Amino acid sequence: MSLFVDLTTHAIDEGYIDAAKRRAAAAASGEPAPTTNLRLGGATAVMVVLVLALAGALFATSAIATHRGAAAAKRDRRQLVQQIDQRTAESDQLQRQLDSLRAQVAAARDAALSASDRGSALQAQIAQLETVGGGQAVEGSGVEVTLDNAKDTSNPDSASLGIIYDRDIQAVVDALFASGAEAIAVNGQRLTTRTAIREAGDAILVDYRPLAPPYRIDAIGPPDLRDVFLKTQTGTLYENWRQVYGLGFSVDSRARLTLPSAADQVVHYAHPLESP
Amino acid sequence: MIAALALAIGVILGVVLHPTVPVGLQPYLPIAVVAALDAVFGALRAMLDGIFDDKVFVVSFIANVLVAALIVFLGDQLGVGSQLSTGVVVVLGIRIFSNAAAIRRHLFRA
Repeated sequence: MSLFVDLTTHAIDEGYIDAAKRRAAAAASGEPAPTTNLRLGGATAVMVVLVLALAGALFATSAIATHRGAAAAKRDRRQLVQQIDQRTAESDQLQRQLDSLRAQVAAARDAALSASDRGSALQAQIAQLETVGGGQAVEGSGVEVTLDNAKDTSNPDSASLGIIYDRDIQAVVDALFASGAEAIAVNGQRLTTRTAIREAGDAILVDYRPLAPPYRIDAIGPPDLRDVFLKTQTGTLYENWRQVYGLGFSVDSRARLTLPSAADQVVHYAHPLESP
Repeated sequence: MIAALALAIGVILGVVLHPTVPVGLQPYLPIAVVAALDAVFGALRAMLDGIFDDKVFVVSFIANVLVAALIVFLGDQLGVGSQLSTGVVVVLGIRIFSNAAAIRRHLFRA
C-alpha cells in the first residue's frame, strides 16, 4: 500500500517544493528572490502560456477526435444496416420474380407434356423428383421445431451454452431427416441436398440468407415424426439443455404445413446419364 | 487569469483548426490528455499553495506528456500496451484526485 500512500501524499510535483525551498534559501541569504508568479514579460511566463494553450488544444483535439470517431462508426453501421435491408429486399423481389417465372415454365411444360401418353408419364416423374429435390412447394402434416437462445444469459458461465449456433440447427435437421422427415424448411428456407447451414459472424446463414432467432424448423414426415424425433439422441439432448440452460426448444405436431420451393435449383456441372 | 485565458485560447484553436492526429499517434492521445490534466491540476494546486514556479510547470508538463506516451509506446512494443495504459491512467488519476482535493480545500476551506 505504500505506493498509494506515496501517490496521495506526494500528489504535488516535488519540483514545486524544491523550487520553493530554493527561493526561501535565496531570500534568507539576501539575494534578490527569483520570480514566483505568473507575470507577463518573463521568458518562462511566455512558455507557461504556450504550454497551457498547447494543453487546451490537446484537450479539444482529443475530444473532437473521440466524438468524430463515434459518429463515424455510428454512421457506417447505419449505412451497412441500410445496405443489408435494401439488398435483402432486392433479393426477395428477384426470388418472387423467379418463382413466378418458374411457375410459368412449369405450366407451359405441363401443357406440352400432357398432350401425349409418354409426356404424361414424364410429367408424373418430374413432379415426383421435384417434390423430393425441393423444387416444388409442398404441404403435409409434420412437426414444427422451434429453437431459441436462452432468455437469461446473465450467468457468464452458461451464457454461451444458451445460444443457438449453426451446429444446433444442423443437428436438429439431421435428426429430423433420420426420423423420417421428407421435406424441411428453416425459417421458410427450404433445404435441398445443396443447402448450407453455416455461421458467419454472429448470424446463422441458411442457403446464404441471414436468419434471426427464433429459428423455426418445419418438417413434413410420418405421423409419428414428433415422437420418433424426441426419442433420438439429439431430441433428448436438446430437451435436457432446455431444462438445464433454459434453451428455447419446443416440438409441436402440425396437421398441415406448407413448405416453399428451394431458392437455388440450378445445377451447373452434374449432367444426367445419357441412357439410364 | 492569464493561465485560464491561455487554456481557453488553446481550446478555441483546437476547435477551429481541429488538427488531424496522425494515425500512428492516435493511441497516445488519451494518455497525453491524462498526463496534461495531471500537470495542469498540479500547477493549479501549486499556485494556490503559493509555490507555483514557471519553469517547474513547463518542464513537468512536457516531461509528463512525453513519459506517459513513452511508457505506452514501450508497452505496445512489448505487448503490454493496454495494461500499461491502465497503469498510467490509474496513477495519474489518483494524483489528479488528490490535487483536486487539495484545490477544493483551498477554495472552500472544507
